[in-house]
Amino acid sequence: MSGPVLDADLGWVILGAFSVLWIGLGWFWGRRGKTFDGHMLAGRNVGIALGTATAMATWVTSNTTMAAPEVAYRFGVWGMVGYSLGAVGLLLFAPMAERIKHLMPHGYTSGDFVRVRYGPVAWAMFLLISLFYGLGWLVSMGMAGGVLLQALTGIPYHYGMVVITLVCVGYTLLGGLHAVVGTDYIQSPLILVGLVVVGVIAFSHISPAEVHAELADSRPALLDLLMPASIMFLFNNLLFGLGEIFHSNVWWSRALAFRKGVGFRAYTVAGLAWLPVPVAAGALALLAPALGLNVPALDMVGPLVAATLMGKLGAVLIFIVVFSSLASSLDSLLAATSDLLVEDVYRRLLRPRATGAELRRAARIIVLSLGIVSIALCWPKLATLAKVIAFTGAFVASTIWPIAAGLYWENANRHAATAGMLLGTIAGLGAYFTVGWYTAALVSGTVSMLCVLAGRLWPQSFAWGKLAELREPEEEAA
Amino acid sequence: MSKPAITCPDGMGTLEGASRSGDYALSWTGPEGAPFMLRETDTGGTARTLYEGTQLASTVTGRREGDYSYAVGVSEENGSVTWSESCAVMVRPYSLTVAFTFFTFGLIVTLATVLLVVRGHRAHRRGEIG
Repeated sequence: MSGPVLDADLGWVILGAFSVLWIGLGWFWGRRGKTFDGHMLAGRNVGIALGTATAMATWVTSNTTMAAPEVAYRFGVWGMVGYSLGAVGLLLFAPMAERIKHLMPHGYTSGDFVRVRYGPVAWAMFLLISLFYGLGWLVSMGMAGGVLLQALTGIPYHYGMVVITLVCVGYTLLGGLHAVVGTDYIQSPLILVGLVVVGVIAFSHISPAEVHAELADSRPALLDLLMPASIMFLFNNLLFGLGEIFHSNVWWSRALAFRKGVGFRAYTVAGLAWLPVPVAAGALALLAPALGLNVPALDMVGPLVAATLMGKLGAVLIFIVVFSSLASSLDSLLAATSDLLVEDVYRRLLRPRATGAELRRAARIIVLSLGIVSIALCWPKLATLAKVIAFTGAFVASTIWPIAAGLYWENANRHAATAGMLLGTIAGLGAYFTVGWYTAALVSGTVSMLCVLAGRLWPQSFAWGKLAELREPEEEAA
Repeated sequence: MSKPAITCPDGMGTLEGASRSGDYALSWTGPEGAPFMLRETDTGGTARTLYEGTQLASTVTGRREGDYSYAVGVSEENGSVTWSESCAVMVRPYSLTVAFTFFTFGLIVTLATVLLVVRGHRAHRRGEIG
């Protein structure tokens, strides 16, 4: 294939149509979020259907639809399997969501939990990790938008990246979590049906035997189950997924927004539904050699294969799938990161007596600012998607044990939790730069776990009731 | 027609900077719009054409341990091909001992985390913890 399959004009038309749809729905649903609580947590009344859809759609990020093919193209069979192990994060978070709702029924953020549970030093460390991760994820998704449009339509990377980011900023500003959850409900079936159709059409053009024969000839290591880098990647990706979900306010805000009893079921079903998605997306990449397709950049491989095999129809389908997955994650992340900054920085540090209206205004300014910062960071396109994402793995995997132990162990040591986050991150970054990007989360998670376990030697008791005392801003100000 | 030039990743031609995962990006320059040929020669001296077309970059993945060299050529009007200087990439995967050491640590951390959450959840459901 020598150029984009779709005309730039058609690309702009599809982008425009979906942008109008998402922003319109954001405005429509946003009318329901009158209070600060309604805007941030959708009134804490999200049911099982919306809950499952929002968890599934948010976890099918651009990272899944675009980086899973990239990883499969780098690491072959284990790449796909390793990526799908990200589902373990959702499945393990299911019981944790129930616990979170039980412990802090009026809480707002994961930062709230760490501040009350472990104290200010751990809280500061956690906020830094969480904000860094949030920005990394935002950047990876902004980049994915730009790469996607460029690969399929020839629209320059910078235009696509800016437009997609601004659309998501627009409807998150208008609608808060109501809009995020509502659009996720539409985006989930679009993503799943689109991927199934793309997969079926792709493998009806070219048989698995042909794919296998070509891989064995031209890229034999991709079929090698003993490929060392892919063996190292396998649990790295699983632990990265655990770190992302356990700490991120994206998932905590949903756990708190779900109606009582919904979290466990919603996250379990979402995890099971998500499991095959990376395999379906990743398998596309393995068709590239059999198609004689040149891949100028690894993160373009998924869209390129779909477009080559299926022409304009495939390009339009993959465009819709990836745009939906991008939007469903980008909006969630904008909303959740804004919540974290509003609750943990603006309200706790700057204006403890702020009213609900002031907090809503602050939330909107922060969403807009995050969008602008994200665009600025995406502009130079410094690395491929998988590498950008994996870099944040060194940070987030260090939170797995401090969070899980903090939720279930009454005597978890707060200094050990802080040390776990700090030393885990340092060790993970060391591994990223010296061993390989595919080991950062694994090393970080291991070191952090050892720190938290060492803390068992010096138990510190904690009164669970402190978490239940967290109150909504209006109540607390009163 | 001017001679094309190919760029391999920095340092991958040396043992210290060798690719551990067998994947890397190549890029080249040459006459605008010209049809290029990307050629790979492996340790055994076997050459193969990886790409023919007008794009200016390619990614190579799935390479086993070995030394690879790459050159890009441009077809002249008289049918001959003008080749660039070649550049080299060494692929030296980690040993399986190293790989399985990481694998084992990953497995242990994963199982321990599952145990923590499952036991904690059971205690929570039974009302044994707050």
